[in-house]
Amino acid sequence: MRSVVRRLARHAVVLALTVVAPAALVAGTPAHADAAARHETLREFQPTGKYEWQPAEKTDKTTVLYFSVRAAAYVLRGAGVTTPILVRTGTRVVESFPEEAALPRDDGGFDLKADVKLTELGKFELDGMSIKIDVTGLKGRLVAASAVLGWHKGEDLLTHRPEYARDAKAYEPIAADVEALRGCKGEIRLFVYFGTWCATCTTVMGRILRVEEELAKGCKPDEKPHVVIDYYGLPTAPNTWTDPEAAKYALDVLPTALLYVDSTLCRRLFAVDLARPEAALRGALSGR
Amino acid sequence: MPLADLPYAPSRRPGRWRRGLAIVGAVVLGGIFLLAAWSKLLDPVAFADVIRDEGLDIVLSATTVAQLAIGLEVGLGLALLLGVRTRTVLAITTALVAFFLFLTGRAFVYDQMGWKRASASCGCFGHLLERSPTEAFVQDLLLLVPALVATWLAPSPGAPAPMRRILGALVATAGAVVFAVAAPNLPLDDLATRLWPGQKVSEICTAAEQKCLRDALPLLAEGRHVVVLADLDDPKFLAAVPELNLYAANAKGPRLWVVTTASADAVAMFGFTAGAGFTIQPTEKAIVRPLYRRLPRSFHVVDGVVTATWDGLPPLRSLSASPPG
Repeated sequence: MRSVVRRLARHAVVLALTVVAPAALVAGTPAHADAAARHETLREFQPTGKYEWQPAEKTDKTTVLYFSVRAAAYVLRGAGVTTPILVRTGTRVVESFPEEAALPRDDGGFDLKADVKLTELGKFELDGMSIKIDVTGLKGRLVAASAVLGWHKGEDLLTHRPEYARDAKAYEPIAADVEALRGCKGEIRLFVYFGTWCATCTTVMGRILRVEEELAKGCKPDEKPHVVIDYYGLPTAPNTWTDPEAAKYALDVLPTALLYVDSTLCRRLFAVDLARPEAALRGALSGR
Repeated sequence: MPLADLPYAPSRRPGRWRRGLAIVGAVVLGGIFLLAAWSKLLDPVAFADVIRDEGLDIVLSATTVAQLAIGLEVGLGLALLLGVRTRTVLAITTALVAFFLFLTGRAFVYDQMGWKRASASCGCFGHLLERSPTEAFVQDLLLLVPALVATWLAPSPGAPAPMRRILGALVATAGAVVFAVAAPNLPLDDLATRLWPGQKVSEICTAAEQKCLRDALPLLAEGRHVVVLADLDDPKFLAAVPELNLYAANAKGPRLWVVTTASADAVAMFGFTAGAGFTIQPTEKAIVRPLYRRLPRSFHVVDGVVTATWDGLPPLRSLSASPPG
């Protein structure tokens, strides 16, 4: 009896060492295994709206442009290119890679596989303010995206500028201020004057859009939130301040937001206020 | 010798009031000169930039003119404070005051007429005292001229001034020139600029138009940030781009901002050519120039207050280990 027990115990130890332990190791480290499959630097590519791809031959096919801070590189993907293209800004090298090498991320971006096979196609040239690409299978330019002009709703901007959408998602407004501003009667209007080319505007637009989203919660589709926000995109210099809207309100700095209560201009808000838009709105409305 | 022929015969000797006023005038003028010289000594490179901007580097280089001008201010200031009010000293002092008034007066006229703006730091005090062109001209007119006139009321007696005082002024002049040569390499940035630990970001503004750093970087008011003031053409900064990219991508420490006076177009080009993935914020020169003697210069901000400054790039590795922004 004792020898049977000893043999069973020996088998159990062997089983534990050869099967259970490795299985536990593998099961316990899925992230490590997954991270090892992703490239060390060619990762964290996110959609960008700052630049756009202009192919040499016009096409209806869509090309999405991505950028990675870590890689300092752009990627062109989509129906408009036969294979994804990697454009490295510092070395100016243009390379292609297989679509299956792009590993999706939870945030809508992607990483490249650690063992991605890159095929060098050539180098790009700088042509004025654009990147000119003329390599095998790809001809066109990367240019600064056209400025968003005129009146727009927030959802337009979130679509046009993925950077705004990411900033909006990351921003945490002060809950008490948002709660104080909630309502569904549409009495208050905020007109935000900005430029998609304006670096300072870019730092706060996501925050304003997030606050707008929070204020709309709880309102029915046919209702308007307490604070209705409209956005007006201004052109780049030298036409910025001669734009009719800018001239009408004597704007001289961006971003500027005009707060109206009962059709009366209550306050002008600037970048330093719009860094915390919900606090600025609540303060402006309570201090009337 | 007849009494009447003495240089200061009783009938020709300045009265007590005139002598008193002359001494007060000399002390005020001497004090202003020394204060102005000190502000320029801390950042002679900025003063040389002003000289260059004003087109005063005709015969000698702007750096040489700056060093000599600083020496002259120190020498004259000390001489006046030590009571050396000989006609030679007063003549040179008058010429210097006239020159300052010419500079500030010209800037005032340009400003009033809407012509090309002269440097906002022209005149006496460099970047330590930001004055609008109108302020600079009016203050110099009201301060310097009465003091100068008072000083002329009672020049020093005709007898040679004490040698010790003259030697003292000359030694101080030589010392000032030597210090001006060495100053750029001394750790004086916190003293010489308008950026130091404890400084509030909300107070970093231009004097003339009240444009502030917070208008360009509104998010500095909250959280932790590290700001690098950079010249995009600087090879030292260019070499640091990969490290800055990695820091920005890891997003572990305070949020990184690079501030430059380059245009938006130049920033875009830099992004393409240098592979910069971090945020570069074009900002007006008038806001940024008073914050550094040499670029790059960096600083750490917590909730709108500068907590540390660094000559050069910030210590990115240790910042990566600190709490994020």
